[in-house]
Amino acid sequence: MGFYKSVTIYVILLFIGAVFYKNAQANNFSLFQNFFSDNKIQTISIEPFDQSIKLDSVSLPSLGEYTYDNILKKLLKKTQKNSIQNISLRKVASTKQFTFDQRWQEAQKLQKN
Amino acid sequence: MTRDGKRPKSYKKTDIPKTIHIEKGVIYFQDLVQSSDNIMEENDYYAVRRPISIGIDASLIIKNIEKPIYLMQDEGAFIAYTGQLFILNSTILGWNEKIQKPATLNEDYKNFRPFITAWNGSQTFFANSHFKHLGYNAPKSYGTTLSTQPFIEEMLNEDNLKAPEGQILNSSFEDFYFGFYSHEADNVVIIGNDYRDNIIYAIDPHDWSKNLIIAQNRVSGTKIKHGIILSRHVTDSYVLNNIVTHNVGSGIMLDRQSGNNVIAHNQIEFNQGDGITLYESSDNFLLSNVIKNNRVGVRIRNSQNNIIAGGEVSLNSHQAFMIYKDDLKNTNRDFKKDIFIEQVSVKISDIVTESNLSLMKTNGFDEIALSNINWRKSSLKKDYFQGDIRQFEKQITKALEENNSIQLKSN
Repeated sequence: MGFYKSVTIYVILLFIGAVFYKNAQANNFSLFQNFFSDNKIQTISIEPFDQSIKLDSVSLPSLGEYTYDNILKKLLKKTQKNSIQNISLRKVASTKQFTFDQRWQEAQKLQKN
Repeated sequence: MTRDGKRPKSYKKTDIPKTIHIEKGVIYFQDLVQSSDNIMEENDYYAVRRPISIGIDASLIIKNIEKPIYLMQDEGAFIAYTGQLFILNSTILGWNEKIQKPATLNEDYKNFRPFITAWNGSQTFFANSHFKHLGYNAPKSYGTTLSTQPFIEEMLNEDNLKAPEGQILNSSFEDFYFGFYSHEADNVVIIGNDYRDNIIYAIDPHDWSKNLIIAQNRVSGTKIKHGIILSRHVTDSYVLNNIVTHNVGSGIMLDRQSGNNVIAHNQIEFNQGDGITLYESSDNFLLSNVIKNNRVGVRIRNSQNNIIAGGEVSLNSHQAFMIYKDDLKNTNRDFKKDIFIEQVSVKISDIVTESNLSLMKTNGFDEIALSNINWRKSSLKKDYFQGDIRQFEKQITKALEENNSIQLKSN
């Protein structure tokens, strides 16, 4: 019986410990917070608040203009313009890690030249 | 393979690589394939083995490409532009050709992966497309980047180039270092996309970006930090109707003086961090958001004149609202760059709140207005107030019983 008693007590203690730990964790150890927190506020005033906030006071943007079809329209305008193409393969200085900024700068320098 | 049937030569570290530069005009991707040995059609995909740059007078159109386009990691491929880039009904992947697998990152995320970067003067149009495995930990190479850089104007000998603009619609972004990043971008619209399992952030407009609309996106599974973050003076923007869920950090964060934004009608659930976090960000309107099953519902630090109205804040494992001041001495913040005032004030109105750990925790505040809140149901244990406001719990609950709307001012 002594063995079973010990096990029972051990299990109960373990359960209490787990509950305490979970609670303390969730509360940021709130049991002790009055001792350890900054307690930045000492006094407060409480007054009625009469400025109601209207939920419809903010106008939200219409999203209707942002569609695939409207992008296609922009694309069509673009392709209808004079589209003389100029494509080239340009040497660009490299760094070991393909540093982008440097590569881009070199490309633009070559382009100017 | 190249047109003569040989495998293209890979770069050695000592080689001088080349970029395919489109200087002028409008070109379709198919034409680019025809004109360059460095972009080839293979059996199952198109292989891009050089960086592509698009000049300010040029447009590249990638439209209705049936096979996926692989930007080759082992060849240093990426796309960068000051012109226009259209990617419509197509798929772009970062790929490692040597091992025939998606481009991966090392533990420090610093090894090169292909990316897409738009500079000032650029316009970006992505729609109905899929993007995967792009971006790594190097400036402006995070994945999809829209950025203003002074050196672009100097090099192009152009003054007053417009900030990069863009529309990103109905597309998916997966396994990016950052799903979206911007620096001084303007008029960017991100609507109807699926940002899934990205690494640091999913959507990260940064540094003086403004006039953004981030709407109707699904943002989930971000692995290290937040789902959507507006950071450092991101202003005059809307975050609307997004579903933001299962991110490791907060669902939505506004940080470092990001103000005059509207965060409305978002569903923010099951994030390991907070539902919405406001750090040093004032004058924002949080309207009718549903914030459930996160850590703290809404966390507010050193931020003034924010309004939280409508919607629901329930079932969060910590407080519905955590409001506090902090001198940030324990952070590595650059106080010259990121000025803040150690004050906090907020109006909270017409909120349904149920079954959080508690209604509110504070550690210093200036003003808190509470109006029409079902505070009695807000907490699991009738433990409504925590932190330094707890000492006034009896007075506050009594006042709330007598008057539906009260204002607390600390003296």
